[in-house]
Amino acid sequence: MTPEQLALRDAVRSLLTKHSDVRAAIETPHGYDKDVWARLTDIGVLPIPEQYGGSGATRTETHIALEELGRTLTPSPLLASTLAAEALLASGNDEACARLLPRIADGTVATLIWPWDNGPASLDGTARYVLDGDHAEILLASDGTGLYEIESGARQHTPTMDQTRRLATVHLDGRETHLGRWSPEIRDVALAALAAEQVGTAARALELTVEYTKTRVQFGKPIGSFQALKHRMADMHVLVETARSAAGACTDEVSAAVAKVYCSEALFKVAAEMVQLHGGIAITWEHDAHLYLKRAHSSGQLFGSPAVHLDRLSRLVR
Amino acid sequence: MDLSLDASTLTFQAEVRSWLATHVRPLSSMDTAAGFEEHRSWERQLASERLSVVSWPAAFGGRDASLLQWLVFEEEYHASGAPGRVSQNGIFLLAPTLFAHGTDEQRARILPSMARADVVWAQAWSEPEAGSDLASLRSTAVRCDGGWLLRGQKTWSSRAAFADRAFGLFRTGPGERHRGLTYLLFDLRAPGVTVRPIAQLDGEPGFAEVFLDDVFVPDHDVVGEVGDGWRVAMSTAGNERGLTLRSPGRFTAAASRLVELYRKNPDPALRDRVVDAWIGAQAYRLHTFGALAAPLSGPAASVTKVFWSELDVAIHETALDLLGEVAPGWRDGWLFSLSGPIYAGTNEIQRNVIAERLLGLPR
Amino acid sequence: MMFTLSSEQTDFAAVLHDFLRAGKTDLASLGVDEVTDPVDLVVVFEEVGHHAVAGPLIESLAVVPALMGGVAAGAAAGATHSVAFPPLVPHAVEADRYFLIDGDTLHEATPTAELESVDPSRRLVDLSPGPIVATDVPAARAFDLGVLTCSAQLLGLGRAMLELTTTHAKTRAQFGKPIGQFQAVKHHLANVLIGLELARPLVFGAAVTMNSRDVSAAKVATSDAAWQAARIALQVHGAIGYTAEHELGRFLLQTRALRTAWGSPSMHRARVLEAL
Repeated sequence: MTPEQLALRDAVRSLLTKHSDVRAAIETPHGYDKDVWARLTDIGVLPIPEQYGGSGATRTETHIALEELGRTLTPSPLLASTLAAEALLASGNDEACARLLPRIADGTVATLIWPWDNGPASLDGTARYVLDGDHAEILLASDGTGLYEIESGARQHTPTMDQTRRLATVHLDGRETHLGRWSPEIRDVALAALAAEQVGTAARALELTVEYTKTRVQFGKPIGSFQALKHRMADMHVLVETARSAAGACTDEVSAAVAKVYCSEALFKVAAEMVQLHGGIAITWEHDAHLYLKRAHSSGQLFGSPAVHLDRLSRLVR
Repeated sequence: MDLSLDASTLTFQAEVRSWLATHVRPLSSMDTAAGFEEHRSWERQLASERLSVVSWPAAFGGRDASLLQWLVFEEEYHASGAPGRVSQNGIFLLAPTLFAHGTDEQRARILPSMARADVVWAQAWSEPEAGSDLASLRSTAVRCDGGWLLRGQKTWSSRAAFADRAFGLFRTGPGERHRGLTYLLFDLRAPGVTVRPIAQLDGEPGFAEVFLDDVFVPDHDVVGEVGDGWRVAMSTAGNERGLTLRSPGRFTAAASRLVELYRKNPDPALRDRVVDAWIGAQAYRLHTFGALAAPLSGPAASVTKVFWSELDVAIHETALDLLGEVAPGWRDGWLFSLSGPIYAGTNEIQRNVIAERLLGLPR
Repeated sequence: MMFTLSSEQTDFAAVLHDFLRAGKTDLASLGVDEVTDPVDLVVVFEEVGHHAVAGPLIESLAVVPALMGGVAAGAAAGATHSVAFPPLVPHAVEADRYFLIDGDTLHEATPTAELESVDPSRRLVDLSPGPIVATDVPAARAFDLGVLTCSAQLLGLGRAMLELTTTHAKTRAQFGKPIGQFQAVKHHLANVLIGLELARPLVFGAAVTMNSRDVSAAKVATSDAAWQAARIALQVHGAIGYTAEHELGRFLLQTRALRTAWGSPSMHRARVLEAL
């Protein structure tokens, strides 16, 4: 990381350390802390060029912020707004960019409805698992070829196992405005962004586990000194670091699919080990281990399960 | 070698199957106050047919059923989709201890009310600093006129949020670690008891912390000899790890549901895991049949504990991978399965036991 | 229900064990060639695996006798038999006399080419069919007996490797203590024991029912358990286990070959699923 990127990471981390309260945030009407979100947009973590009112942050900076949000599980519209902004930038419509991107950069929540398989999709019907879809003010949708701005019909929050990620069901009613072309590469952008977030979650889950095993004493010594636990945390470390490499290497369709599969599976294993190595305390509501576990599971399914992407990879790689 | 069922077992199986087919109904979660009472009345309904504790002597509410018949009962019970047993801790952990170490008076007083769920029992083993290392527990029982006074704190006490009574180990001294412990029964509503429910992963209070401040226990609620509690308790721990707490019927039923789920949502990438889950459940079932002829030793029970707990996680995770995050009918089981490798002695501890006591590796 | 071995069966296993440990190979002298009951065959083949005995024993003692209706022509004279079931068992293990199954028809066969197995102690041959020996043979049951005895052999191989490794871990010292005292080694060996202990009842259960589903389940479980035993054995032995002089290699290579012999784990998983 460059010194500027390190400074950005520290700024986001310090913001989240001071202000992020995950359990309070998920109890708010829209499932995220508006103050934290305002501060994040002030730091300038959305990948919006200066000409459209943005900070000029690149995807790298956005990924740094997503990784930090992943560490703390802080619910945030960043992933949704990022994908909406990316889709706009790729649409080739300057007017729409000039009209919508400054609002997004200022913190207006935007989201994107898109076919995860990049196949043709109807804009008349029900869209499920839409990030922040119940409260986003800017709603974009793709039918697999074009990008549209949507006046939606009914939308409602879809509670899932993972309360730290806001998902919604949106009923499209065919009222849309064509904005420009849909770029299939947005899928790879989405997978890369999600992978960055997953790496943060996995890394923090490991850190919390290491901290716990250093302080929990059984049989007269910290349980972290038992070889069986050391080896498992060493394996977790290997998973986190290889996942980080996979997430950092997203340059094309293949590497983005690899990152999605690898980071999903790594996070799931790390979170499951977090539960096991914490023992009974991990099974309680008060402890955060279950939040990590549920996030691991829901992130694995978001934008298509690892199995779906593996299947795609089997056709992409020749 | 012979896997066939005798005529009386077949008759029993048919009776259980038809009774369950007409009586099983869905209940609310036993980790809510209302659901707990629904489960209590379900237990009473089982008891009225003498189906709550089939392997117990008739005098205590059972049918003197053989172990094989008990296994058959469990297979039928789980295959029918019948609810989880709120009396499980009492029936599968305390009762075997009373059969082995209790007095006639204790058995006559405690077992019939347990069979009818008039008294639901919670376990009180762990303490905040004594989990895997149970022998480091600190709660004490001090001699007083006519009994004992309990002081200390217990945790991860399953069902304690709504249960009536509990059993656990207390330090009566002298001696350290495994020595000087006594197995005692106490009333969760006695003066001096404070129960603080702990919300588990799903937010419901499946277990609780229990604070004890000079709680009186009469002498007749000491199980086994004073100071011999470790030995008495370990016979119960063996039950928890081994066969009795997790009958194979539970896993064969879950594995069959998984196969059905796969048929509706076939995903070739998950095929091997589905089949392995079914094979694992079948292996555990047959392993248990083998144990009928030659009962498992304590350390051998560690083998089954690791196996069933990891099988349970594998079955449920495969189901979740087939379904995605909207997994009706599997979510609660999945969350519960995750506690399996942790409670009743973590699987790490079980592997130490297996290596040291079955393979003879040095301590 | 009595799901346990009789004392005659456990005694017979002990006799076989001593016989094979003494380096003797003439199994017919113990009457092994007269064994036809599937449970008894499992008892025999677990010991065959336990000592990593090489050769076409599955074929000579279990499969060909089943195909020939118990009239194992020529077997009494100590001649070995082998048989291929294309496509599932495409090659035969080297033997004195060869057969080939086509549907329910049993052919004489002649070897056309030698093939190299991952296990050098297993010499394989390609066959070309010759004259018909019999029609309407119980090919499906014979195949399942091959799978069953192969599973039993894998179980014995796994047990042998666990024993070798446990002994090694008790005696090999590093950092001033036996390596078996390290928790990581203990947990590895505990996992091997769990795998084998839970695979065993599947093998005996399959021997009792002799249905394809149960036979396949046994093969899947023993293939995984024995191969896990092999990998852990090699890891715990360290470099010494990798040398040709050490006996572990014999067990490991045979396990690897038998894991996919008589149908791969994947094929058997498919067969289980189909039967459910």
